[in-house]
Amino acid sequence: MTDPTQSAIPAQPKLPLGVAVAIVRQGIRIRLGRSLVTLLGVTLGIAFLMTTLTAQVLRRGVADEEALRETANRRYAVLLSETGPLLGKSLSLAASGTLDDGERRLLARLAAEGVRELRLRPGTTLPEGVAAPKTVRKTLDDWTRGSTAVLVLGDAPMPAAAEVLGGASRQVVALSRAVTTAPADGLTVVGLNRPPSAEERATARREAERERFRTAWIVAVSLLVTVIGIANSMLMSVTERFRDIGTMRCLGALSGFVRTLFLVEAAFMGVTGGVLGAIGGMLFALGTYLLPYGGTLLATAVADGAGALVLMLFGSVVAGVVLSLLAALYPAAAAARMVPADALRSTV
Amino acid sequence: MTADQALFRELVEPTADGARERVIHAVDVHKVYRTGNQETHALRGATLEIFRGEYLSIMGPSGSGKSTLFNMIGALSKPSSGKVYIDQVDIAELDPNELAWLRCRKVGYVFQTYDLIQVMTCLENVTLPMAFAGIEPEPAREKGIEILTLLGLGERLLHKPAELSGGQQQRVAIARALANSPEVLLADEPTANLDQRTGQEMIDLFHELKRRLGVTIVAATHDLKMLMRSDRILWIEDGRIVRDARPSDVDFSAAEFH
Repeated sequence: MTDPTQSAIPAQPKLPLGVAVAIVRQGIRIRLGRSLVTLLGVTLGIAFLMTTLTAQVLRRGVADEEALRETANRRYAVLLSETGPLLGKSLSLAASGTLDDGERRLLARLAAEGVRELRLRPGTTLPEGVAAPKTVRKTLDDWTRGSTAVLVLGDAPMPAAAEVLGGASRQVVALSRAVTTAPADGLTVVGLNRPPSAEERATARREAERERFRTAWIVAVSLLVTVIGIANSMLMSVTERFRDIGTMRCLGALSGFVRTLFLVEAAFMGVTGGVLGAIGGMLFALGTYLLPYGGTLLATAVADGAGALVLMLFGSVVAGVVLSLLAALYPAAAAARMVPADALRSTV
Repeated sequence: MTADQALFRELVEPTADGARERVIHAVDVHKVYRTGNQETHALRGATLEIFRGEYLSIMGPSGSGKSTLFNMIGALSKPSSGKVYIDQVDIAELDPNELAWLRCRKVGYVFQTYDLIQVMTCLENVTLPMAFAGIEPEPAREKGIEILTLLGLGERLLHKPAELSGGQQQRVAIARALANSPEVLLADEPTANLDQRTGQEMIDLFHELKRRLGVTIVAATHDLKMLMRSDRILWIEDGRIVRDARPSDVDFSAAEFH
């Protein structure tokens, strides 16, 4: 072997990525417990991200429904503030024309809150399929007698004061549409549709803003914790494998190969944790929306936001990989920096 | 002549005289370690030649610079001054990647504590350096089986190191060191952790390898049996080679051996 060319050093020895993958797979299998802890960290971090993202899509899908509920709730709250608790009470109802969804929901709400009966003004008919308390047909003379309040729904004109008061000295009249008649003595007229005041709107806006900020903050912190968790676990792994790394370096592994080992492991954790977390997080978000909104509405919301959801799934997996790699950068560099002689110095 | 070859000619030392070919040549090697303000002179002008096919023993108390010298010969670190040629290449001129390349193909290590990778099978341990050398898995596997069989471990290919005796682990370590057909096999106290009989077997094995494969063997050892059967013995003390003798010229009854 005196031929000098035989000893020539190639400029760039090649990097066996397949070997790195095999070693990483083996390492994960052997140190399964620690690997699972790392994986759990990635999974939880990504799951939280995906839950938040999914909830955004679903919230958009149920926005109309949510607005209706909001309206019904507000109307009910206004009514309640005038009458006090309605459990076991009777109400009078004048309705004509078509009821909007908000009014239907108000009736359903009254039924749910335990209103005993609705005394109907002659000429009032409730559309088919409306959930409402028990109804009783009454004459013009006694339709408001003994009831806590008079509801005027639909585009029905407000009944005359005498008709409403009957024998009573004071009566609450709740209108769901704009008030067209001046109130008479003895009548307290309440507009159920009172829109939220500028102040209330501002408060709601501020609250929504704060909520968005809080969510973004929590997501950012949870992802940061994930990154730190992975980095910590990887550093432990470097320490654990100090000797093996030294041995490999002595056998001719390049520092780049050692770095690759840790980056491959991180990428694997990122993909696996990302997929698990993304799916888990989406299912969790779907679960939390299934309970209050029901399957049909949720299915529509999912169908409407399908594109965005798929994009978010992919995005979350990518985020998992990127965060894992980010977390592994320092440990991988620390491992690659190790001088091969250090391993020998401890033995020779 | 290609650019690589031209570069190479600059790195190669002038051809050695005589029939014997130098595998390793160290010339006036100094090594200084700095920790903070403190300087440690591990080597103070060590000069040595190791010839192809030779079985060389190195003796030296701890702190003599023996391990530093081993690191140099094994292309693990560079001298502070002086020249170290491994297979005629001056390691001081190489970058870390080239050093790794040299470690991979020119040097085979057998560590005192074997340092097998515990999570891998014997065969995987042996094929690992071949993978670093860019050999495809299938031929690497075949060669690994061949070497392990040669060393009497044909039945233990898929065992993990922990399932083997000390002597067997030592053999796996030797098989791994031989995987890339190195110019020189570096063994650190190869019999220190073995019982008498296994130690004797190990010495026989080294001679067998030297005879059959023509491997150059450099061993750090205090084992009298090993010293007596080596071709040449070097003494290192205080960072210098202080004596160089054939076993036939050494009085093994002297106090230093007991």
